[in-house]
Amino acid sequence: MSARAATTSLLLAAILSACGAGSPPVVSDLALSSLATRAGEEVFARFVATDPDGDLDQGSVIVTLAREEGAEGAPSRALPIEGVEEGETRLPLIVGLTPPEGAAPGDYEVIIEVSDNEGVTSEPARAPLELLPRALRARR
Amino acid sequence: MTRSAGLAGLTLASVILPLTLLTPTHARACGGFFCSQTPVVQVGERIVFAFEDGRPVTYVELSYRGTDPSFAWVIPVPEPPEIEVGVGQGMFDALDQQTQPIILGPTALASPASAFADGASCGGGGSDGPSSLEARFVPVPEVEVLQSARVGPYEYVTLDAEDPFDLNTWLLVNGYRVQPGSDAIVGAYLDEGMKLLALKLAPDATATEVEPLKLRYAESDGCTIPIRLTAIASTPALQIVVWVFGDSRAYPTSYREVTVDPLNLRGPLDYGPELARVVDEAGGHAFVTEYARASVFLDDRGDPTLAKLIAENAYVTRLHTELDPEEMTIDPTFETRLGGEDVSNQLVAGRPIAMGGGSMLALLGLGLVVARRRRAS
Repeated sequence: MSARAATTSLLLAAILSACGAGSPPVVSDLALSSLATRAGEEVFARFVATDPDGDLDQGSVIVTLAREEGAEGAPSRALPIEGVEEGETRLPLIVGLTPPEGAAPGDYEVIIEVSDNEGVTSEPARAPLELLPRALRARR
Repeated sequence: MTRSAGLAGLTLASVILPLTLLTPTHARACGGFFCSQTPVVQVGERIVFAFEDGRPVTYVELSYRGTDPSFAWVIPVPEPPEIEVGVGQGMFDALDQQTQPIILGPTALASPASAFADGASCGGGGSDGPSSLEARFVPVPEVEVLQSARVGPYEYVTLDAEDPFDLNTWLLVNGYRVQPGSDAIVGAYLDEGMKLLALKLAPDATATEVEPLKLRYAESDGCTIPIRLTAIASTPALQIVVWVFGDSRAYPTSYREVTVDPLNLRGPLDYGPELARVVDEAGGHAFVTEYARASVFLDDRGDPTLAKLIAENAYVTRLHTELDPEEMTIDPTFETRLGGEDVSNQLVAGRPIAMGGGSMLALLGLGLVVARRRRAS
């Protein structure tokens, strides 16, 4: 093989290798059903997950509820994505999330990330959510 | 569509869900209440069916008690309507003042207490939730969005779907409160070809009360109140007052027409219980016609909406009923018919005031005292 052919092959292999590593998914159009909720009350997050590689099946959605000052230590859940048609590149999704009992009232963020089946994770999408104090029980 | 055939295709169902109110408020709106915390319930509604510019229109005003950080108003409709808000408040008050029953009797010359008494404020309690973040996938619902817009402080959509669960799921994930157990009733309306109009307070809007709605349709085939959805979150004894403007007197068709006999009244305070009694005797599906007369006898009190209705509709009928949630199984419908007689809202109470035993003894004692003094003198 000539040097030129070898270089071309190496270059082609590098390009193919980069494609095979997978482009990260993208989370877009994130919207919450409510701007405020209470601990123990479900709120819904609607968003669209796209992946040009079409490898969302067997990936996962990571949902985090974080105080605005940071996501470290914040409660989080990972939901496996299943049943997606092979090659599907765009997936509308709805996630219901329930803030944990004991979560302090205040300003939070709902953070949505999507990982494909190769573990490549999207940039986080964020939406503000206010956690209201628990309501008083009515007297009867 | 001819007006002589009766009011065409006005269909209204009201299921209201408390809006974003942070303080106890006697708000006025119509529908079944779906709220995040119980109890927030509908206690009454006032409705006007009429023609404006030759098209059927409906004005709806609800009364409810309770507070809730979010609520939505869900109304089965025959077609996506044109919607206005904040119109008709003055009209409802002017109509009520001029057409409500006036009981003339030995105890007082006054009208019965308003059917829309203020309610106490209530709050709901939180439930014990999970100790960690719970999350789940929700299937994306298959729903057709027929219209989506904003009017005043409200966002609204009109939806159609095959499956009521899908429709309610769509409402839920898009921020409209949905009451558990409403799937079956919503499904019944969808099976009848109705669509679902849902309104909620826009995120950037603030409201201290729910404003009346005006709904206008392209065409319709009857005056109907879709009351079945209201059963989900209504108090017992929901007061419904309907004014039907048209060419002639209106009558209930799916409900019976009953009357309050003034001979059974001692005074104004007897009217409400007596109305409830005669409606109950008819199985709960009955209206009392409280007023029926040519609309020229109404004073618009400076309200332009009422002035227009008076100008364009020759006659007005006021009908009133009281329904318990378990009685909300049939939607009331109305039609106008020529040749009906006027109905006065003035009733002369004819029941004598019965004296209890204590009163009799007191009178007897007084008589004895008077007799002794006379003998002494």
